[in-house]
Amino acid sequence: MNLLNLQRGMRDALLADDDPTGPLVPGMQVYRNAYRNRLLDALKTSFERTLCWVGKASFEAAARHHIILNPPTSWTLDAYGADFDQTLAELFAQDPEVAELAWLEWQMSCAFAAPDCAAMEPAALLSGPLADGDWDAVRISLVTSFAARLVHTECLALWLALRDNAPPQGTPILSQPAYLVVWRRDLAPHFRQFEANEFAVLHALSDGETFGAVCSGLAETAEPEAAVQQIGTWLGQWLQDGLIAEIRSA
Amino acid sequence: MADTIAPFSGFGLGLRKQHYADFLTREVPIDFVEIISENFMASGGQALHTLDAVRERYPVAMHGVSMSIGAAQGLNREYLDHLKALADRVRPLWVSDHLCWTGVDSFNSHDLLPLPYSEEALGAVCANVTLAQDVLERPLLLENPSSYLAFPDAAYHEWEFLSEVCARTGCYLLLDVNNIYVSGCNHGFDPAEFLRGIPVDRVRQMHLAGHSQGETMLIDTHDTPVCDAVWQLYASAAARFSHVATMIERDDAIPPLDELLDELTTARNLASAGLPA
Repeated sequence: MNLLNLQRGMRDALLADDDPTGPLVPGMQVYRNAYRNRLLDALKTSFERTLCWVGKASFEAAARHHIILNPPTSWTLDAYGADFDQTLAELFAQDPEVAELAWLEWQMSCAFAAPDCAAMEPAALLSGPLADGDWDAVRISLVTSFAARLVHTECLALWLALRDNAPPQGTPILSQPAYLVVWRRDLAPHFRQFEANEFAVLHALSDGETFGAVCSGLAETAEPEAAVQQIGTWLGQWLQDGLIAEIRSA
Repeated sequence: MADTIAPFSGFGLGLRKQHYADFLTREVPIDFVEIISENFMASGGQALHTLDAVRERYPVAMHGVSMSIGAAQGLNREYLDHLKALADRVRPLWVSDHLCWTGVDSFNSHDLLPLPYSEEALGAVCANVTLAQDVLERPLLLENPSSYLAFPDAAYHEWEFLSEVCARTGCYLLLDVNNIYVSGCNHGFDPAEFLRGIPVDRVRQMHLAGHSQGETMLIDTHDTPVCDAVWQLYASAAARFSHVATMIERDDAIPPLDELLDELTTARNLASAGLPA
């Protein structure tokens, strides 16, 4: 057997559901066990709070299901778990906070190792295009660690409670879906929940729309002056949060 | 590229998260630290900042687990480029990885899978080592892994295979003394014969670690202290390969740093006892 076929055969033996047979047993069993245990440990490490919330037995069953369906492809084990929240969404369809909590944990890890990107200091506004009153053509860029998703549960409060070793009895559904945003400021991951209208403006601006266009859009449902004031307030908050990398003229 | 690695005599430990504060705040009596390369191949963040700070205080050796030097389909260039970027940043004593393969097609096992020591495998390994050394612009150190499988149609013993790779590519060796012992027990070869078969001038580093007894084999677990049998083998290795770097490798059940420093003292004592007066 040539080397490539031998390596493919060993891969198939690692991935097979059944115990291996043939001349490579029992050594192959050592590698099979190590393969599964390594991936299981990786998921346990990356999703520590999700494990705590669903319990060891449920978590391990979900992880084994995920491992069988999602063999790793990246050269780094740190990437394993990128889509574990999707597996959990299927397996815990009646408990949507599980997948949302897992997403939050995963994005915190991603933010931790994201490319370095300095946030704009609020004082820099004084020398930027907004200082000249030229609002209409302004665009913004977010820090590179930015990630966001729509959530339906109080998964953020759940994360905090689990961090404090005080898991709640249940996880309330939000009265209105919201957006959970994760990013890194300096070296520490941060997160915050955004209401839908604030996130829509942030998303539009970071997607390349100008301030003028976004203000015009908001003015269709609110007083123009109030719309501009609201966006200004949000912008100040985003700067304080360390979410903005750059404000520039188009 | 530099085609040689100068000998470096020293005793070091792995840089693990549990000991970051020790390495950054204490004067730890070691000569170098070894990092797992993949743990620092991120684009940014805390890990790289910590590494930069440690690098200011100690020489660093880079040790990888994902190069897949025995891959029949060749090396992953994206991986090599990331590794090169880290090496340029760290300016390490050397870069090492294992004589193994880790994946095929799009699959990555994240394990050090065994190679058949055949002519075809030798050709694949040598081609991959040559490419890696060209991209990294430095010679590579190859480590002998623990293995749980032997291939009946092997053309070489492991030590012969390693020696031939060195001769054909100019690479160096990282001898893992515990792995020699584990594989020797699992496959029935004499560890002393392994040591005698390794060219003295190609060894630049040795690893020491603990292992566990599995159902039918010894398992390289890196979660226990070095055992007496491995210390004895290390004494022989240190006498044969004098003036090379030695490191205690602990990856699980990591104890307080001082316990590892005690093990390192044992290594220093055994190595110095083997040196000519």
